[in-house]
Amino acid sequence: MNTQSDNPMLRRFLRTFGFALLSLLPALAQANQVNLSINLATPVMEAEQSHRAFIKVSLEGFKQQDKQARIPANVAIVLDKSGSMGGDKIKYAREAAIMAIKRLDERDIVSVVSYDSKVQVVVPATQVRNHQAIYNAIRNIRANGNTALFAGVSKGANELRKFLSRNKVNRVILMSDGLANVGPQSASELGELGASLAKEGISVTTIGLGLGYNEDLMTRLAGFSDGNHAFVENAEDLASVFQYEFGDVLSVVAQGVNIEIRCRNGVKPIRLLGRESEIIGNRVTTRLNQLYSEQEKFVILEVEVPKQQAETELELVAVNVSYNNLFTQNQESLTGQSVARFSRSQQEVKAARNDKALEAAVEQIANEFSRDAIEARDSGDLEGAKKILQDSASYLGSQAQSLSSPRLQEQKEEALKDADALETEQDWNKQRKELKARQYKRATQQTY
Amino acid sequence: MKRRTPLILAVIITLPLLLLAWFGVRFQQDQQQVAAHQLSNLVTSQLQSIDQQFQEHFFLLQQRFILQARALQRETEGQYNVESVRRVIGQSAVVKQIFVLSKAGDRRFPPQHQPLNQQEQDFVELTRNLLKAPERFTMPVLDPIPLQSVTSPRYSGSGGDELQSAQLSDSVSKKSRYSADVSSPAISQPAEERTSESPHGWIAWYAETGLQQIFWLQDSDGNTVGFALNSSRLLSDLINVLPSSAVGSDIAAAEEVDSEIRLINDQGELSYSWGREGNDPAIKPLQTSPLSHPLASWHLNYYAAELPAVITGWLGLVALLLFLATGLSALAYLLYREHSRELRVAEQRVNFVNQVSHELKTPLTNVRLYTEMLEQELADDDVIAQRYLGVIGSEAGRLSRLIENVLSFSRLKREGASIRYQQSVVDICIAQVVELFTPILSTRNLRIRFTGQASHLCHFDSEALEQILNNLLSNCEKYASDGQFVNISSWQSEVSGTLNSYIRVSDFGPGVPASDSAKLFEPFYRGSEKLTEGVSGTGIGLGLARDLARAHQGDLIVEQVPQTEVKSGASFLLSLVTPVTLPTRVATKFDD
Repeated sequence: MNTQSDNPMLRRFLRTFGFALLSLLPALAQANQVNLSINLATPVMEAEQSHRAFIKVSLEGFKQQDKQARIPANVAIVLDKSGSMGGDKIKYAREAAIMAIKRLDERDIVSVVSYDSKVQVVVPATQVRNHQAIYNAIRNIRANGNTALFAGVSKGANELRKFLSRNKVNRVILMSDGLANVGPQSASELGELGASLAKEGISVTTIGLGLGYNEDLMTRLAGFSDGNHAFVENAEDLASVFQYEFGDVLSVVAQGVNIEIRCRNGVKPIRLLGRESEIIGNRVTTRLNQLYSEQEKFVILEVEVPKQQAETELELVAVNVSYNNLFTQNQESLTGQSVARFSRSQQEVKAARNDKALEAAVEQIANEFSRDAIEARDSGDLEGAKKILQDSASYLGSQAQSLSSPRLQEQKEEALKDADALETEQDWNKQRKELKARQYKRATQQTY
Repeated sequence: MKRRTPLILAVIITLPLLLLAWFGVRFQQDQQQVAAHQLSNLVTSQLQSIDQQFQEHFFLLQQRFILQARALQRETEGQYNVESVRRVIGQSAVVKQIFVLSKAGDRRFPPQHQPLNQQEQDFVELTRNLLKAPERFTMPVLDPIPLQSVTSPRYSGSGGDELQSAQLSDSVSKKSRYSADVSSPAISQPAEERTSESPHGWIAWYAETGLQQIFWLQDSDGNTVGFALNSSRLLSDLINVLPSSAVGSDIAAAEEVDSEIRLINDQGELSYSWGREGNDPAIKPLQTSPLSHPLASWHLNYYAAELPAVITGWLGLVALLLFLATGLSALAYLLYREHSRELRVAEQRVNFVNQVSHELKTPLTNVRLYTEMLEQELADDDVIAQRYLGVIGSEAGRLSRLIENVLSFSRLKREGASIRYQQSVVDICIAQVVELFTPILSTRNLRIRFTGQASHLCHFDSEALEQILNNLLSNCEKYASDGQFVNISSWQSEVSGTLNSYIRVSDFGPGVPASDSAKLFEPFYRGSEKLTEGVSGTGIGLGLARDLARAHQGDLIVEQVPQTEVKSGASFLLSLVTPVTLPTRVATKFDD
């Protein structure tokens, strides 16, 4: 009885505490500061029992106050002009690049690299002053030859390096419609390159056009360098994808975001959902290359929480985030922590549940399932893959119901559709690209 | 004669053409060889300079690593604690992993007794064998190229010369003072002089995925710090050292040398290529150049189309030859036309003379006939008339001989000499001629002394012999009139079964100088002006005589009289083949 009467009070206290904590952070910060929030999906857990808990660490870029006061961009557009790009494709690609460059102005640096069997620097890194000259150079690109993707990205990155600055948005935008067949061509090699570029503050956005490209390679390259990835089936849609991408590029507010999560008090990290991370002992680190204005990026950390006595509180993780604020041009850091309470009351546990955080966690878990399904399908285990997706769908379904989340419901429908689509052999290539792109978007909270 | 002229002209045309063609071809071939050699030198130096650029890249990396390692050592006070090393790895774009071995060969990083991240685990797994053998990092000799620092400064000087010769860009050449080669122990940071003491080197390690480049150095405490490069990043950087291809527009492509260079990795795969567009992958590289350590198993291939410059060289040669050939041909044609016109004119003249001679012959015969008849009719005592008739007769005889000479000459030219053999005695024939000439010569106070010993009956052409002797004697009459005597002697001898007859006619006139003796027989040649002054003659007599003699399988020569005699005179020796029996009818044609 006692506990029951205490509970509402405590809950109230916790709520106010949590609210204060949450509202304090943005209040403490100036307007131009990244917003860090740490949410435990289950802030109250059952006592005397070990748990799997999900912690959502999310960062939100502050609002760009003035469109004019944006961060200068340093962009290298790397276009595939191999033989398969012939005809309308290359035309659309050229126009898409030109349309995108129209959004840039004198503050920005642009370079255009095209590749077939060899690499041509069409527009060396230059300030965007003479738009027409750049457009003319781009319009001269003709499709022909093989696909030296690795060299193309290398040269693109090299153009960026001419004006590389931590205070610019440094980005390679790679558009390809084919398999890399000159130079390194494996996903791991491109991933290694992406990781290396990320260390310099360069991210690579990969746009796969049509059904011929290697989606593993493209997502790996984007993933390791924290760029975007998109699957464009029809060349007509390239322009809009380029527009989205440039929208992102021009709304970057912070770069070089390092997230360090330390697990405390015997809490064990299991995995970080969605992003590449490094887990050493109880320390989990990951890195975002940039934060966009008013976009939330988050990671979900799955941890194992040891048994605890009832009515105790436990600090699960301490989070340390450092980033380069492009507006103040300062290296800034944020800290936060996540505390869980333990109770015997199921009701309390349920009431305290953070639906938003849990929804995000479920979304990411299902996303992992989807990845597993692709792996299974790749290894020829069609039934296994189907089962994974169906399990994922039922998991999503039950969670959607309990959280009454239409988003998860939608994802469930998707998973069921994917499970059906697995069987049709001829569509698998397209299906796989779509899946990969969708997984990538979910994992990185890409906006388009 | 008519056929020979075009032949000679053809030779005149072809000979210089052939010579020129031969020299031209030789020259072109030489030129080609020189060009090929120059090209290969050029290519070699181009490839070497690329290799050099790669070496520069490695050297810069090495410098950076040395500084990083030193900073790390200083920062961690030689402990190399895990966080610091991980931070360095996290910040360095080119490094995939770092390892630290203690002096005793124990692994200090990645740590042995602490949890590792995935990358570190993979790395440890991959390099287990390498890290187990720390002597690799202490025994410089194991490396394929002595990249390790041998701490003697003179070594660095001598080792660097070769690489230094390559051209370096301005900014690089400043560094090349130190970076002559990667092995150079002279480390660039001038502020820190003690750096050269630490041993270091590059290792190319075959990991599962390919060649893994590792730079190691020993710090002052004896720890070995190794930097494993991110191989994708390394390739990316190397690609960025290399030029990109020209943008597809025509102008740039035209400027571009028509060649392609490919970077081939340790597994023989194409890593990067630049230069010419659209190459047939099957063609063989013009040149292949291996790269230096630590890219030892990589190489560069140079591809090029056929040398374009050479074709224009050949074209030039052919054009020159054609031009020369047409020029020479035109010249030869003009010459030939001129020549044949002259021939025609000469022929017309000869014909004219022939016809005139023919026309003269008949009236002359009549003159001689009637003179003889008149001589017989006339009384012997009419001395004056007799003498007059004698003069008319001898002059008519002379004229008919002249005409006979002209006609024979032209016949000879036209159809060659034909010899009609008849059985007779040579001496009789000579005696007849002597008899005929005695009165003529006596008017010039010349006397013939004839000693005949050719009395065998044999076959010869008496008409030809008469004509020869006529010519010889009339020469005596013309040129040797102050010599008083003309000696004629004849003899016969048998040489290899056939009878040869010899007749020597010698006078005591001014003689023939040795230099003139060869030309004497040429048609229309007349001896020196001193000799021929005031004497008439056609200049065909001796030539005709010799031609006849040769047609008779004999010869007519001028004998050189010994100098001792005061009055030498001229002496002609005629030799004839005069067979006793005629086995077959011998008829020789004499050309020219």
